[in-house]
Amino acid sequence: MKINFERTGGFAGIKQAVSLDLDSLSVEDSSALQKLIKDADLFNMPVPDTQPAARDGFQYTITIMWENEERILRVSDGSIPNGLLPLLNDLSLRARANRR
Amino acid sequence: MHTHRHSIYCIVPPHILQSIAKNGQVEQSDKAMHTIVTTEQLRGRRYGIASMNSLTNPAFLGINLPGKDRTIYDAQNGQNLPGVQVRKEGDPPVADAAVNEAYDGSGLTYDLYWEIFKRNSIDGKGLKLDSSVHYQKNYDNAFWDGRQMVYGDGDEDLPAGQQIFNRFSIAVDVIGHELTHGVTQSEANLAYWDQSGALNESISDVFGSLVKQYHLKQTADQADWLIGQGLLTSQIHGVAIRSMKAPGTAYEDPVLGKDPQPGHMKDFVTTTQDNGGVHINSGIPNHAFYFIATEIGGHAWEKAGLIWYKTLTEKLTDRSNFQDAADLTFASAGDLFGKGSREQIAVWHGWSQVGITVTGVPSAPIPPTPIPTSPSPSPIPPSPSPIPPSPTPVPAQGSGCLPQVLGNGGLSSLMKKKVNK
Repeated sequence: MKINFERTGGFAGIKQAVSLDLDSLSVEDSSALQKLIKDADLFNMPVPDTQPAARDGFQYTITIMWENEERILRVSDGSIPNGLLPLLNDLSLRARANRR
Repeated sequence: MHTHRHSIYCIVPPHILQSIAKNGQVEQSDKAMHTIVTTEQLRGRRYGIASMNSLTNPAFLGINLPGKDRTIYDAQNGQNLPGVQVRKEGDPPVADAAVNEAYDGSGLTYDLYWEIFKRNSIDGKGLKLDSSVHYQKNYDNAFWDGRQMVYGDGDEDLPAGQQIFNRFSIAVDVIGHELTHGVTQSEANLAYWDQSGALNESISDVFGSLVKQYHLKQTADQADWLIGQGLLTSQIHGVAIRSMKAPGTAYEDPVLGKDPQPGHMKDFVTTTQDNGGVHINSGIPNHAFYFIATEIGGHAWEKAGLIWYKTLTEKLTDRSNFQDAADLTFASAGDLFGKGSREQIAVWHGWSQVGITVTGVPSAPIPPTPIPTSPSPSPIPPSPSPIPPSPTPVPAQGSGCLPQVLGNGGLSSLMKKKVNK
């Protein structure tokens, strides 16, 4: 399984992104990330309500690829399902570390 | 431009007046109500005293009371808004710096809009100013959610060596920026993509900077024109998030990269990210405002800010672009200060310096010739339109004055000239 994560927008307008191949992560790290994905229940997640009047929020794009499948999820600040937040926080920190 | 305030209003906050009107003895109540009503008849306001008898209830009478009405909430590192109330209007400071910053910053923003532009809060009708701090964890951002301000703690939860951003309530211009998104939402309601979105962002930067300048009582040449000064930790090579004076120079850091803002149309960035680069290309109108404010001189909020405010509230529409902004600020300057006034010339110069020519007027000489401090004779005939009634502009003479435009016909080609994205 591979994951591409991208965060754009925000007050500063600074993009952060990271691409992860779970097979190349440590067993512990891969397991932790897979658990977050499972807990987020991405494939059954309701379509979030959008807040068209929101300004300066982040926009997040998560692309998950496995075998021949691909799932793309886009959410914005102010309309993030609570169940997705731990995964977003984890990926945001990985993207942030990826800048260094 | 300062507005005279009713003396009692200056001393006694509206919430206290309301309390006296509601709970005081008959004579006290009458005086308080008289103050409320008299003041509000001059200004208008939405909120009143809901629990009072309808015959004496300003809200029932359609009267709005001016005055700050701030409430600060703690999101407790979650994302459910607004969170737990931690400070409301009139409460003393608390131990939490982020709470006090959000309270003070929203108050300073209210002050600018009220005292300079006679605007009663975000919607002009006394909208409550709600803010939530401690949003999520490691959240390096602030945003306007359509109803309230939201501030993250930056990287304050991370080890010191990994910190890039301080908490976002730390900079008063950021607070002014976010609240101004609400003003824009109430007025021009500029779309949030491409040039309209960049204009939306720029307007927030302009008034955010003016909040800071007004608070510090700085003239245009004294101001730093930085947006988000103090947000970056000392580990980052940078002074702020954006620079209106010199877009593209706010930071350059191995981790953060380089400030990507252009300051001229020749460097306009075409991108699909960030809603079409709304936080990038805003550098262009930001730069124009800086040029205009510094050319006019003095306090930027008094003239340049007034031109922008009038344009935002009376002329811009949801799909306005940079060219529209140039044309309409030029028109506003003419409305406010006269056609051919030094202020209108400054607007013409400022947009020219970022590569945008006011429609129907030739490019201004760059750099502009200093403008005399006394009003110069109007070089353009009075007209209800900022666009001179002629397609045949006389080339600028390098005098810094608007060229006289003569004749008729051929205007369409000039009017249709738009900035290429």
